[in-house]
Amino acid sequence: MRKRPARAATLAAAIALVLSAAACGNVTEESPTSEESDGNEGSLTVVDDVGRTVELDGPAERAVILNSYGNEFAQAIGAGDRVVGFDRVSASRLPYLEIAGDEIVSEDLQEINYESVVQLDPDVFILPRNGAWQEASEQLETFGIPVVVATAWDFDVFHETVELLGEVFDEEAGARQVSGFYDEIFGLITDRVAGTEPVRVYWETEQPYLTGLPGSGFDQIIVAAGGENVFGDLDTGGDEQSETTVDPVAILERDPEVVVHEFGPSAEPTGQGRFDTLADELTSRAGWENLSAVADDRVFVTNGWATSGLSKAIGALYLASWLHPEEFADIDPGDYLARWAEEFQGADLPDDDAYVQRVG
Amino acid sequence: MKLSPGGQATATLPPSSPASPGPAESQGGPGRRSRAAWAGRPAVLWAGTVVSVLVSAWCVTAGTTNAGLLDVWRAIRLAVFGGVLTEDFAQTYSVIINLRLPRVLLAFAAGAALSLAGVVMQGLLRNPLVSPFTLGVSPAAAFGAALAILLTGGSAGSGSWLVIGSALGTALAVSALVLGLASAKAMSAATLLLLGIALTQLFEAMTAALQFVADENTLQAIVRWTFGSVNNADWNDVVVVGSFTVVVLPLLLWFSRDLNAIAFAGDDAAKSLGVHVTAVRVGLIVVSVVLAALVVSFCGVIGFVGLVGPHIARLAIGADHRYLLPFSFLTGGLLLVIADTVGRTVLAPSVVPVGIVVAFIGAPVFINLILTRKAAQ
Repeated sequence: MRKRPARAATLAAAIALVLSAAACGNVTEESPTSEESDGNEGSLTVVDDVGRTVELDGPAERAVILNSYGNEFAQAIGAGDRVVGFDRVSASRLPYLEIAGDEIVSEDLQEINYESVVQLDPDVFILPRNGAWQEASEQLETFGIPVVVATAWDFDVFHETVELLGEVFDEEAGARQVSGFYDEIFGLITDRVAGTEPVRVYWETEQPYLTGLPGSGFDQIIVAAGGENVFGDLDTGGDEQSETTVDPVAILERDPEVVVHEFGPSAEPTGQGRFDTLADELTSRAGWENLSAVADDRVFVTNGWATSGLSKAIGALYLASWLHPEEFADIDPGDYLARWAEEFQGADLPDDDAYVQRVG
Repeated sequence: MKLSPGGQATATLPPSSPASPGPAESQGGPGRRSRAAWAGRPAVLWAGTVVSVLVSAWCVTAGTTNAGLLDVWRAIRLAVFGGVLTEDFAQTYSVIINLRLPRVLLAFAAGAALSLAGVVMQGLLRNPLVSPFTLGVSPAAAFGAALAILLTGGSAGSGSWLVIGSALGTALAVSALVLGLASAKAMSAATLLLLGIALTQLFEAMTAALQFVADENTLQAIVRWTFGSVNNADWNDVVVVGSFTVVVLPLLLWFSRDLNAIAFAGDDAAKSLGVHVTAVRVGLIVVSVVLAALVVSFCGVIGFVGLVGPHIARLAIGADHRYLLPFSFLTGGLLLVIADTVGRTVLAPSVVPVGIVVAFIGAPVFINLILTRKAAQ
């Protein structure tokens, strides 16, 4: 029988032994300081967006929030100064928050640098339900940092999310103000569009021919604004919150009366060049010269920061004014955008044509 | 099993002579090198082990929290032997023991496992292009994981046993299908590789289809799985992946001479030397598939390591599997540890998934290997 390579096998076995022996010592911690032991642990309990009951030591004084909509909401309810950590998308979309490099803990909602989170020493870590919240809960549990799931991008749970953030930061009054502003806008829209004929709308998001499925937030604001989503009858089997790419020919067949193209949100004012480029691209698409929307100059290009802001309430108001101009003759949606920016975001922004333009 | 590996087995030298000419040369084997030059292979192996330990230790120190090698040593000593954790060291200790150490060890174990799987597959099938990814094992596992995530509406996260089980089950089923077909049809290794490429495309398309119908809540989790990541590493993952990999290494070493015989001399010559070719081939391929599937089920799809790790090892220590197996273990582990460290430091404090970084590192290395081989020929 041939001699087998026993030495290497022994080495491997030794490695296995070392691995199995790891982390089995008895580590005792020094007694916590009196400041720490006096903490009123478990004094605040909230139920988050995925139904988890989360205990916090008290209202959050330091928070890390991932997702730009979540950060907008925190700012709006008056807790912006207590957010100490962000994702890079929030930093790029919300330049007025002046987020520093060492306050960024992730590029997006998935690959989170837990070391950076721990270094910021937050009382709570907040991210939406499409973020890696299960992983974050496991990784941050050791460090005593509770994870709260709050999905601020979801149109369907706007009130619940604002209320939840209000509880976490003990800013119930601020939360009520934000909800009140939202309700004020939708109340206004509902009053004005009552009894009007629905107008056919094609709403495009970010990419050419990408549109919201029935039941999505975009579909809901079209209906709320007195419109009819020309692709409101699609059934792709996908989730109602998702978007889908449609056949360009189908747009011609459905002949929308109003076209809206919303690009990626950023509070950085959009340069005129981008509006012009998008206008040329949209109106020069094959067959679009025959669309009712193009023929009637009812094509709009918007920055998602404006039209998806406040859970799409401001977008709904803009859209309603485009669909039913006679009903909204005395309403300037730009005033509401300015209120959202100045009163709730504390930002000094230029006129609304830096974010929303009629291009054809 | 009637699987017929590609290439003509003409060499008749005993497998204990890895310097023999033959197919091994095409894998960058020792055929071009003198026997004297390879007398130092145990030293190379030991040097590789020391380098691996040092580099891994240095990687534990890298990150946003300041921690030096002494801190790492202090934390490990505390964790292993116990003691009093002072308040000023508590956070550093927790970061090292709960975040960095499991991450580095999982990355090392995953890279080592993929590389071992690659070297075994390449040797048994006598084809240097074979890897868990090119045979369709990794994409199948990713599909299994994505399916579980979708069916549970995203409630089963990446660390869920349901997701891990689904990934493992799918990978094993696909491997059984591929190897069963290969056996039934007496396929050459080249045909097997083509079958693997077709299955890779199919499973990638099926995963993309799941992404198409996934909602916002699950889409990110599925996409992330396809990137490959060790960001969620914990000690359970290290124990499962690490233990299995470390236990499998001596098992593979036990069969390294048989592997040499099959890889260098071919099936007929190996049989004449007393090797039970069919049993060894089936057994070791099953082991390598389980290794790869286990890694994918814990870390997602990580390409290139299974392909490049063995090639780097072969360049350094030759094609004799007695040395190539442990050295591939080291090169694969190091490759993934370095890739992950780059991923979590290059855009710090942001983290780039290791599957992306390893492709950026692995592709140029592999291209260089291909070009070097062509130049040599």
